[in-house]
Amino acid sequence: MLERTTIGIELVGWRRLSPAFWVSAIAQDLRLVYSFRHVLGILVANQLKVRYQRSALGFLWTLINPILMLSVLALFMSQVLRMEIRDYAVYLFSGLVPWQFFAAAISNGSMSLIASENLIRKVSVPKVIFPLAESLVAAVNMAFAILALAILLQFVRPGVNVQLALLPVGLAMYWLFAFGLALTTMTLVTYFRDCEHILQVLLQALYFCCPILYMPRQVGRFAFLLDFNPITHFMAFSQAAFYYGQWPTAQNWMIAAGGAAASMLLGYSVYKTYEHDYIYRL
Amino acid sequence: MSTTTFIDSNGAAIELDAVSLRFRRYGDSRPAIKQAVLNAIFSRSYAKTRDFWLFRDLNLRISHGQRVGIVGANGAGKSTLLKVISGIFYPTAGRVRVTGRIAPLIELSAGLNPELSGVENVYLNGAILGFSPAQMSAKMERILEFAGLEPFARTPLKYYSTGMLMRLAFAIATDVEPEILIIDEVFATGDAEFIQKASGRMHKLMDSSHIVVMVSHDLSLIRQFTSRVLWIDKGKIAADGKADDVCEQYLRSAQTPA
Repeated sequence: MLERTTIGIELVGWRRLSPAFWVSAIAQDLRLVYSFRHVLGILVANQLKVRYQRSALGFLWTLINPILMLSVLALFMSQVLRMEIRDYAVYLFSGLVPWQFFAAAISNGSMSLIASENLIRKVSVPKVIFPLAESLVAAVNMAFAILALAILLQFVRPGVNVQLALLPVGLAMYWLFAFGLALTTMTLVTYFRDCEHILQVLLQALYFCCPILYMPRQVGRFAFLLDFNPITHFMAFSQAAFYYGQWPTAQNWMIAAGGAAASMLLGYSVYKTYEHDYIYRL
Repeated sequence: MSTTTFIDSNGAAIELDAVSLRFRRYGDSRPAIKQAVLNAIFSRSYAKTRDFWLFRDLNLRISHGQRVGIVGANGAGKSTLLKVISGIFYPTAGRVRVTGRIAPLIELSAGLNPELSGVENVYLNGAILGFSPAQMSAKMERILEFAGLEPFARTPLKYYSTGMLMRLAFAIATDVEPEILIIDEVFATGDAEFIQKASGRMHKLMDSSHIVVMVSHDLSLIRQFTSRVLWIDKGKIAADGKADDVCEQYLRSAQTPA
């Protein structure tokens, strides 16, 4: 049996400053998401299904798409632009696949409330499950792409690095970072629809600010600027595992962990502030 | 603060304590960055959002076994009250307490996704009402049969006719044995045979639910199904009492021009 108590006024005001409020809020939201786990599961499954339902190759596109994308970029960058990086396809893969996860989690997550407007206006669901589903879908797609490409790229450069053991930890922090940021951008996009367009441009700019197509050493004396981009440090984990074969640095660890925590902190407090107001903006 | 806990209790209940709801309308223009920036610069509302209080300190107690009808003019807040009870709108102040599994038949097609097939939609809708896919599998055959949609089970909903959609939505929503049933102007659309079937099931459902709250403009329907009636007028409970008395009062007020 489901019991629901809703107290309006107590959500706002000074209570927000007490740690006890946040502990109970988090516990409550975890319980709420758990009780809606079937909806979450179906949202994720449907997202994966709907996208490829009508195509002949179906779900295989999850695998073919990154392979083709990678082939085109690798061919162009190494043959036309003469990128001087050894095993360029492997390097490109280790940065591009995590980037595509991030871009999908942010842009789909930002639009998730608007896309589910129909549902939100007519049934009572915790809003957080929509961006959560999007970031899980992006993570599943990333997992498939990593698996397929890591096997395929054995032909380019055989062997497995021990640093692969750290990849799950790195990706977990990366996921938290992306999810927290998606909660923030989702709020911005829902409130100010203009932000949707701004976001796309920012993502494109950010893409070139990450060491994906090029290596930090190629940027010359401005290489240190890349360290200010937290995504550089998340990518360090996948690049370490698949390309460099060196352990991530202490700086990588600190910025990745700190970035994940800060992003979740910001995203969750923004979400809690507007949780019950989103419906008026849809 | 909204809590969801699973408890063993033998009484369904709806309690509203001093519930206030501030409604926000953002006018015709989309809320845009321009306005927000201008608001910040001039530290006042540049483009006025028209806030109004739909409910002020509303108190309502519906206990186990009650069948409650809600009547009132258009825009009086009937449907919004149902949405507050079902948790879609969160009260700006006050407390809403609902005990029991609640099935809001507010808009039947709410949880349906046009891109997905009938079967997939049954799972999605069931999940929203709190059922696992395994539990829904057990109900699947019965739902599709009742809706008469077995041949179209694998067809995406966007190819369904309106009647088929309504039949599916009704079949799912009424197969879940809720403890609290919230009905907003639900009438079956479909051919005569389905309406016959649907009203039969509706009666059974209303008999087995612990609490029924229904909104309708059809006073004969209200009189037939409910014993207690609330008359909502401009966000206030204008009358609350025996079905016949309140319906009578409401009719009289509608006939005499204000």
